[in-house]
Amino acid sequence: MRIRSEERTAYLAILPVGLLLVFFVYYPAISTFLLGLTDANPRVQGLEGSAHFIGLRNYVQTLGSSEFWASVWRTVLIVLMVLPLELVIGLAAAMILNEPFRGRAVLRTIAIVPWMLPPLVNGFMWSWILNGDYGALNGLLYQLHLVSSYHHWLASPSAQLFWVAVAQVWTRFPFAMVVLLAALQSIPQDVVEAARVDGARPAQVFRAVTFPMLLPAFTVAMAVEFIVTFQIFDVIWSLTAGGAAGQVINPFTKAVMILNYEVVFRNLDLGLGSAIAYLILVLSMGVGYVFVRMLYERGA
Amino acid sequence: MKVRYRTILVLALAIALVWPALGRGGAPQTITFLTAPWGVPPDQALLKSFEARSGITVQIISAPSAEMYTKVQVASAGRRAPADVIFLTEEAPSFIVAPGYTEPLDARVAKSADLNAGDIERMDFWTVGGKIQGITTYVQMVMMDYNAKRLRAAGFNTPAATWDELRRQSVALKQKGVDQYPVAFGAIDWSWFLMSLSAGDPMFDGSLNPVFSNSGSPARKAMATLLGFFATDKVITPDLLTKVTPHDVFMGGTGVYHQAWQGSLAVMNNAKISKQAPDVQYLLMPERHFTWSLDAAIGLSRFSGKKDAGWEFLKWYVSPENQRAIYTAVGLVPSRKSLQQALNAEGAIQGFDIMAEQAKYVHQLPRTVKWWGPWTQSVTEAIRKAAQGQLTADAAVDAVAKRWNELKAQYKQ
Repeated sequence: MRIRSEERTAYLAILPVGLLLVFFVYYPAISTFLLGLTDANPRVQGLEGSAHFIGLRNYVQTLGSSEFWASVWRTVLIVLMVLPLELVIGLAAAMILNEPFRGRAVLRTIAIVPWMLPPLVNGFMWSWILNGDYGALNGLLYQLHLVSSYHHWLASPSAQLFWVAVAQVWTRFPFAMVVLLAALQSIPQDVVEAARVDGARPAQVFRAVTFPMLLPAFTVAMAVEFIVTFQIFDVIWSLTAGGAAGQVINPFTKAVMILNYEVVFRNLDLGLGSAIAYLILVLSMGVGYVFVRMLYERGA
Repeated sequence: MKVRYRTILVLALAIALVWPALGRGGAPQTITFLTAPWGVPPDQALLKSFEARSGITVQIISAPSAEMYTKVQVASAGRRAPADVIFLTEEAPSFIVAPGYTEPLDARVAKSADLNAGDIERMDFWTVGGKIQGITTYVQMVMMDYNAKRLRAAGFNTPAATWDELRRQSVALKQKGVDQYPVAFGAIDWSWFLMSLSAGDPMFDGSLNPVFSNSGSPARKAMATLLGFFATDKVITPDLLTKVTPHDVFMGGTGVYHQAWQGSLAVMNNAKISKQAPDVQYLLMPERHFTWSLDAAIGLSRFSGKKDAGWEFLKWYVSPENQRAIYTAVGLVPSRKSLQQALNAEGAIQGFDIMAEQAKYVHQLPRTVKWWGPWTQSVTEAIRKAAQGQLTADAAVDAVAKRWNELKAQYKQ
C-alpha cells in the first residue's frame, strides 16, 4: 500500500509536465503527421473547401524532388563546415579560459556574448560586416593594405554558404566552449600531473589524457550542434535570404528549414510542408544517431 | 450591522455586473492595425486626435510584409482575425485578397459619403470578384529615376530612350570612371517585369497564359539584358545579387540609373538620407514606356469582430490629412486626386509632369491570382541562378513559364 501511495505521488508529480508534453509536443506532432497525409492548402481550397487524404503522396513527391535534395546537400555542406570549426574553436577557447590568468572571469563572460545575442542579430551584424560597399571587413583589410579595392564577399553562391557557416560558428561556438570548459574543470588534476611527472609533453598530455576524458562532453556538444546546425534558419534568413523585408528567398542558401518555411508559410502548402518537416526530423535523427554512435564506439 | 454588510455586498455585486454593460456604449474601443513598416501613420499627433475624437484606440502591429502575409494567412485559415484592419501591399492581392480574407466594403462605401470614394484613384484594382476589398491609400507606379548630374559628367545630356542605349551609357559611365556600378537594379522579379513591360511585352494574355516565353519576345530580350548587366557588363554591384531592393545601394551613392517608384524623388533628393541628392530626376520608361503599379490599400479582416470601428479608422487613414502626412514623411503619392493636385500646386510633388506622363502607360500584372506569390519567388530564383551563370536567359524564361503553368493547373483544380 505504501509503495502504491508513493507511485501515486510520483505520477501526480509528473502529471503537469506529462500534460504539457501531450498538448504541446505529441498532439502537434501527431497532427502534423496526419496533415502530411493530406493536400491541405488553404489558398488552393479556399475558406469553404477542405483537404483530401492523399496517403504518402507528399513524401513521394518530396523524395523525388531535386529541390529537396539540393537543399539537403546545402545543409550538409553547412554542417560539414560548421561542426569542425565550431568544435575546434570552442575547444581552444575552453582550454585558454581554463588556464588561470588575470581577467579570466571577464573574458569568460565576454566570450559567451555571441551566444547570448539572438541569431537574427548576429546575421544582420555579419551582413553589415560583409557589405561590399561599406562593410567593416573591407574597411579593416583596406586599412591594413591587405586589399587594394573593396570586395563583394557575398557575391558567389559558394561564398554565401561559406559566410553563413562563419556566422553560425560565431553564433554557436560559445556553447561548445561552455560544455568543454565544464568538462575540462572536472578532469582530476592529479592524473594530468602524473602524466607530466612521467615526462609527457603538453601535446602528449592533451592527446593521451585530456582529450579522451573530454570525449563524452565533446560528443554531447557535437550532437547538439549537429541538430542545431541542421535546422539552421535565422542566420541564413538575416544574412542572405529574406533580409529585413523578408520577401525574397535566396536559392543558393536555401537549407532544409528555409525550404520548409517557403512551402508552409509562403506557399501555404501545409500538407507538403508537414511531410517535409517529418523528413527533416528523420534525416536529422538518423545522421545524429550515426554521429553519436561512431564517437561512443571510439571509446567515449 | 450584519444586514448592512450584506446589503453593501449585494450592491457591490450588482454594480460589478451592471457596470460593464452600462459602460459599453460610450466606452473606448481598441482595434488592431496590422501593417508593413511604411504603413504606420507617421503623424502621431494626428492619430491621437482621431483616437480622442472617435473613442477608438488603435494598436499598431508593424511587421515586414512577408511576415504580415504569414500572420494573415495562418490566422485566417483558422477563421480568426489577424488584426481588425490590414494594410494591403505588394503581394497582398494574391496572399490576402484573392483567398477571401478581407471583408467586402461595397455597402460601407455606398453609405459613407464622407469617404468621397470618387476622389480616390485605382479603386478598380482592389475590386476583386466584383467586390471592393480595400480602399487605395497611395498610388505607386514602378518607375525609374537617374542622377542627371552624373549622367552629364559622362557626356550624356538626356536619359536613355531604349534599353540598348541605357546599356551603352552604363558601360560608358563605368569606363569613364563616373560610377563603377551605374545601374541599381536588383536580381529580383521586379527588375525583369519592369524591363519587359517597358519594352512592350504584355507578359500574359487575357486567359492568363504566359506570352513572355514566346519566341523572340521582348521579355526574353529583357532577361538577357538584365543578366548582361550583372554578368557581362558588370554595371550592377554584386551586392544586389543578395539584396531585396536596390534603394539603399542607390541612396548610398552607387548607381546612376535606379529602379524606383512613384514618389521616390522625395526620398532620393533628401540630402539627409541620400548621397544622390539633389540631382535625381524621373525618366519615362524606355522604349514602349509601360510599367505596372504597386498601389497599396487598407482593408478590414473578414473575421474581425470590430468592423464598424475598423471602418472608422480606415476612413481616417485615407483622409487627406493622413495622406498628406504620409507623403511628407515617406513620399508615397496620395491616392486622392484632389490632394495630388493640391500638392502639385504647392510645388511639393517633384517630377509631377513625368509622373503624369508615365501614368498613361500602366499595364497591370495579374497580381490577384492566388499563385502570384509563389510564382514571383520562382522568378527571382531563376534570375539569381542565371545571374550566377547556372542558367541561360532563355532557360530562365522557360523555367518560369513552366512554373506558371504548373501553379495555374494546381490552383485551378
